[in-house]
Amino acid sequence: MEVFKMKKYFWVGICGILAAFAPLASADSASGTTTVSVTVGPEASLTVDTATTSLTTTGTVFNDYTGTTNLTYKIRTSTGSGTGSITAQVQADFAANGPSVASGDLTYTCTVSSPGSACSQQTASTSAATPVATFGADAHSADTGNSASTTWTLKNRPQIKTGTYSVTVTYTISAT
Amino acid sequence: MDSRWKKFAELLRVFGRGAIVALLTPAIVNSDVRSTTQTLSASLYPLGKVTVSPAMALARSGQPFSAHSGTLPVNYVVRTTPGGGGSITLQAASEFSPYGGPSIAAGALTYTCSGATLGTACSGAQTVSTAAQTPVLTLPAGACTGGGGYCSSADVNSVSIHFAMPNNPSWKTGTYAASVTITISAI
Repeated sequence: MEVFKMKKYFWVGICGILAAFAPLASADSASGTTTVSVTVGPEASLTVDTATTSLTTTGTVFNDYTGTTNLTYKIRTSTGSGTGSITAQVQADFAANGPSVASGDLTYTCTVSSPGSACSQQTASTSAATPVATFGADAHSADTGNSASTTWTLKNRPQIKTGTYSVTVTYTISAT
Repeated sequence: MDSRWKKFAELLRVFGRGAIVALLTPAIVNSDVRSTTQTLSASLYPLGKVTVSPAMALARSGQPFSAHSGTLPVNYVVRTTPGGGGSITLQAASEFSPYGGPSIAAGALTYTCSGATLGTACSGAQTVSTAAQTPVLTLPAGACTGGGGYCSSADVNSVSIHFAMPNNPSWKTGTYAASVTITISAI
């Protein structure tokens, strides 16, 4: 009889405990976890802001023609041994009887904002890319891009026939 | 019939009934049939379970410095009460590591939600936070996964989270990782 009473009280107690915790079971939550990763590599992009650069001459007769092409670049080079560059190459020479890239009539100087290093004066070429800017390891442009430019100088030789002459210049940016 | 026979017949009638009763009584005593009722009840509480891939990589799409993106499928099973509801939320458990790359605190990681098979996916772009949970899905009252009818027909429900991250030149090269926790709640 006493054992029966103890069992009864035990089960009554268990029920009481369950009843007390019942409200806690009226809501539930669970979680899962994932790791989001991204690999950021060396990258570079370039925008030519001056679609057509007109070369003009001012001042004294037979002064050279000059003009400036503006660029905006973005770059990220690797830490350690990363490098970067901007180059320019003339696609094809001026038409016959006009100025001659092959003869060295077209030269340029460079202006490049940090972190790039500007080139010294260069002679444009149709056969090889020539430097505009260089970058070292762990170089970073601003998120909105940085500015650069090439200022062109075209010889104004009397032998050149009158007319309008043009060439296409390709700029290339690279990053490692 | 004389009076003696009448007495005998009367005795036989009385004692015979008693004999019958005496014969039947042991059988009645040895057979005990009782009935009772048992109420069976089950309390079905709101429940939720969420499953996600342990890792996902964001990838650049297209041109240099184009944004990184990636989709995380989230599978879930849930039961909400008629007067309750529920939700799935997202929170970054940690900042991107190592330092020098994207920053959750700076708002670099955003997401949109789509394709919810039960409930309503979040609306518009959400910015992941390390400090607060942000919405992925809202679950209605009386929602339940699987079986059809008033529950969803799918045995496992799903929603997609589309992460997006810019690609800033100022970040150092390398691989960056952050832990993100997806939580489902049911009431």
